[in-house]
Order: sequence, then C-alpha cells, then structure tokens
Amino acid sequence: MLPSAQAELPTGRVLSPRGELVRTILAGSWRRPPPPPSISDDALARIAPLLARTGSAGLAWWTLRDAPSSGSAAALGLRQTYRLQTLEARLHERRIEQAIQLLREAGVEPLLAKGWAAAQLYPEPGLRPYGDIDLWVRSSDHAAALTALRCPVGQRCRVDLHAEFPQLDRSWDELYERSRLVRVGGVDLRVLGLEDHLRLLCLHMLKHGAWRPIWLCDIGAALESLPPDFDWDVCLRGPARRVEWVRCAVGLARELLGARVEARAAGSRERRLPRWLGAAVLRQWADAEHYMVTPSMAFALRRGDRILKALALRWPNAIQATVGLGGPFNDVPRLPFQLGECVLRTLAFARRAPHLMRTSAPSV
Amino acid sequence: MTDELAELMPLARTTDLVVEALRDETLVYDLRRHKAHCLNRAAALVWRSCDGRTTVSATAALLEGELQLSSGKALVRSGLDQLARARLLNGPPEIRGARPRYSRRAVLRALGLTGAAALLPPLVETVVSPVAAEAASCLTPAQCRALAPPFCSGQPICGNPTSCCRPRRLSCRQAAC
Repeated sequence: MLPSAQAELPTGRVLSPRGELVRTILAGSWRRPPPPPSISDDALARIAPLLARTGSAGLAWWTLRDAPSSGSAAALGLRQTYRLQTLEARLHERRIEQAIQLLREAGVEPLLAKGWAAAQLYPEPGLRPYGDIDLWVRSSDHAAALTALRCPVGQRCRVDLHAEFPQLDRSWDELYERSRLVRVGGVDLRVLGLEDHLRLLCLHMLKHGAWRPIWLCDIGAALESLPPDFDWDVCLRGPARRVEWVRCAVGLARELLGARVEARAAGSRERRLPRWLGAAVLRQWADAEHYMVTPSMAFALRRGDRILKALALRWPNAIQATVGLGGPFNDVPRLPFQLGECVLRTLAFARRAPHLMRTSAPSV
Repeated sequence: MTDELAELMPLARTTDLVVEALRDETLVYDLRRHKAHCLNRAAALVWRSCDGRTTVSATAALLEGELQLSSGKALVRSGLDQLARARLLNGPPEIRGARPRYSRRAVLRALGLTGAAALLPPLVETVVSPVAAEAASCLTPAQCRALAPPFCSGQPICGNPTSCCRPRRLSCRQAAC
C-alpha cells in the first residue's frame, strides 16, 4: 500500500473554500477508526447543510463522534441524520428482501449494485445512505420484472430497475458469472463482482459530474478494501476512453480524499489528472443546490416560474460535459464540451418536451 | 412509587418495530407511526427489561447497579413514562396510559444530577432530521408530515407526480404542486 498522505490538490490553490472543507472532513472518513477531524466548529456549521444534502452527514458524524466538537449544534444535526440513516438502512434491507422475492417468484434473477452494495464498504450501515434499490436484470427479463414489481408491495420497495449494464462494456453473462452471492436478511442476492462494481462506481460518479462527495468516498472505500486477488485487468478492460475515465476517478479518490491506492494500481493504472479536474469536483461539492434534487425542467416550464433558476442549475459542469460527449480528461479547456453538452441536452429535451410537459413528475 | 406499581411487570412492544443497537444507544423505528426514536443506555435497559416477567423494582435494582445511582425506582418510572409516550410499551394500562408523573427534568432535579451525570437517566428522544429530508430527491407522505416549516419547500412526493410537500400553518402537508 502507498502511504496515506494528507490529500492535497495538485494546483495548490484553494478555489472553493466550502468544497475544501467538505474534502477535509471526508478524507479517509470511511476507515475504522477514521482520521481525527481537523475542522473548527464554525467551519463545520458552514458545511453541515451541504453534507446533509449530499448524503455525507453520517460519514461526517463518524469522524466527529469522539472529537471535542461532537457536542456542537452542527455535529448534533449530523448525528440525527446518522441515526435516521441507520434505521433507513435496516428498512431498505427489508425492502430488498421483498423485491428479490417478488422477482424470483416471476423467474427473474437480478443483480444489485451501487446503493446497498456500496454501503457494505463502510464500517456501519448508517454511514452511506441511499434512496432507492438499484437492481439490474437481463434485457429480456425487464418487462417481466416491471410487472412483478407493479404490485403494492413492489411499489413500496423503491426499486430502480435497469436493463443490463451498457455502460460497463460487458455482456450480462460475463457480469453474472463474476457476480457474488451475499446474504441480506433472509435471502441471498447477487451483487456485481468487485472489479465490475469498482468500474461502475467510477463511471457513475463521473457521469453525474461527481457532485455527491459520497460517490468519491465509495471509490476510496472500495479501493482500500480490495482483496489481493482483485484483477485490475478485468476492471480496466474495455474502450480506451472509459479506461481513462476509471483511472481518473481512482486518481481523484487518492488526490482529494487520500485513498490508499494499491501500489500495483497506482504504479501502472493511474494517470496524471488534468489541472481543472480536482477544482471542478470541489466546486460541485460547494454547491448547495443541484438539478438532480430539484423539480424537473418540464415541471419548471409547466409552472412558469423558477425557469431561470432551473436553467442555471442545468449548466453542465466540466466533468459531466466531458463524459456526456465522450471526451478525454486532458488539459484542453472545458468550455467547448460544456457548450456541446448543453446543446445536446437541449435538443434531447425539446424532443421529449411535449410529452414531459403533460406527464412528468416534479422530481428530476 | 407505590408498592403496587413496583410489582408491575411491563411488557415492551415488539411488533412493527425496527431496532438497531449502536455503540451507546438504541434506535427504534415505529413502522406503524413512522417515527424514529433514540433510547439512551438507561432507557434501552429499562425497555429491554420490559419482558412481562421482570418487575419494576427488579428493573430499578438493575438500573442502580448499572449506573451507580440510587433512586432507581424514580428513574425506571421516568423511563417507562417516556417509553409509553413513544408507544413502545404494551400494557399494563397503568403505565402505558399514565400521565407522566415523573418528568425527566423533575427526576434530574430530585437526584441532584447535573453535567455529565445528567446524561445517565433514561431518555427517549424522537429523531427528526429536516436536513436529511431536504437531501432526498422526493419525500414519502410520512416524511413530509414529520417536517415543520421552513423545511417543506415544495419537495416532490415520491410516486405522486402532482403532489409536493408544502407548509400548511405550522406543519408540513402533502398538497398539489
């Protein structure tokens, strides 16, 4: 293992003070015991709402709970969130059991990834919240799975159902073969193999512009829990551009959060990060609002107000724009990517707008 | 505490609850009322003793031993009052429905407990985290009702495309967006 250095930005500049504070409190926060916090009560009060809104409150409390500042008002708020997340994790496990049983009764065998599977990387269940249960099924089973989950019990399970994993560049059979059986309550369920799951965590975080710090913590926690037989060649196999993205995500976890990256991974798999990348992540972490947790664009248009705000929130960040256009992570300025991504999304929205304006839910 | 109460054998509710024991507290989620409670060590000890076979005085002795305090009976009564208010007890009705006679503050005063020692007596706390609700991309109707203004700012209601969580007088309610 490489030594765990205190994470430092390559630029050496603090471009986003709040993002920097989020980084400080979350660096290494997935460990047992976590590193001692180096943040004042005032600073904590400034970022506590950000931490809570982005699902990082439990981890922040984990780092603070034995510190003198654990009695501050901001820390107590984080503690309440951690408590609720702990209970919510247990409720999710009940829902997972029910959903798996419903799908198996319909003859569908799902694979689980992200949410619950990512939460298992942490020392306690309440540290990593998730809102829904991400299940993947074979494309040919998708319709049957949807039908099976349409009953009242299935609706309450909060399943986000996906058809296979096109973004992973692997066939369903290959992923299924590497999947692992794990116990949840009274059922055994299949989760993605470690190599595929790390790849998914990296690509998913970049696709959404890395705006939730917990996603980078997931990658840090995953990197530090890799078994000796983890096969980097399997993880990194695929189109060169996606391989580069995964390497960038691993590099971000090391540089921003001090993740201890295995020497053989660090030596040959990582790449130098472009100068703008770390700063772009910290800017995301400093934003109090994000379009993914605000009403949809169609909803804003239907209401006729908040349109400017909705538009502003949807200006793509540099990471999201790069991934959206399938671009490289290099030192070329990002503005062309952002403009291009904006045009593409606008066109895509315009095509669907008439339908969305009539039917869309207020969320995302 | 009267002798009659001292011989009562309270029974904890066990159905429709999700219980999670943490390092120094126990969390309980009430699936019927969709409320979360946090029991400190003493309250959890009282609750676990409510097995329908252990008397209040036996629990008091246990609590005195655990916390190195006298007046265990008053502490148990305070704990039972709080557990009953949180709907975490089944009978007997004398305890379940009793108007609290021993508030936690009164017990602390009576025992002369201050500072860190004041953390020892039973405490059942209802857990609410408005910021956690704000973090969600949508709220369930129960989560919405658990909030108070200004924390309901029109968040969407999960699975209902036309409903949002909005302030209504001093509470938050599901309403048309």
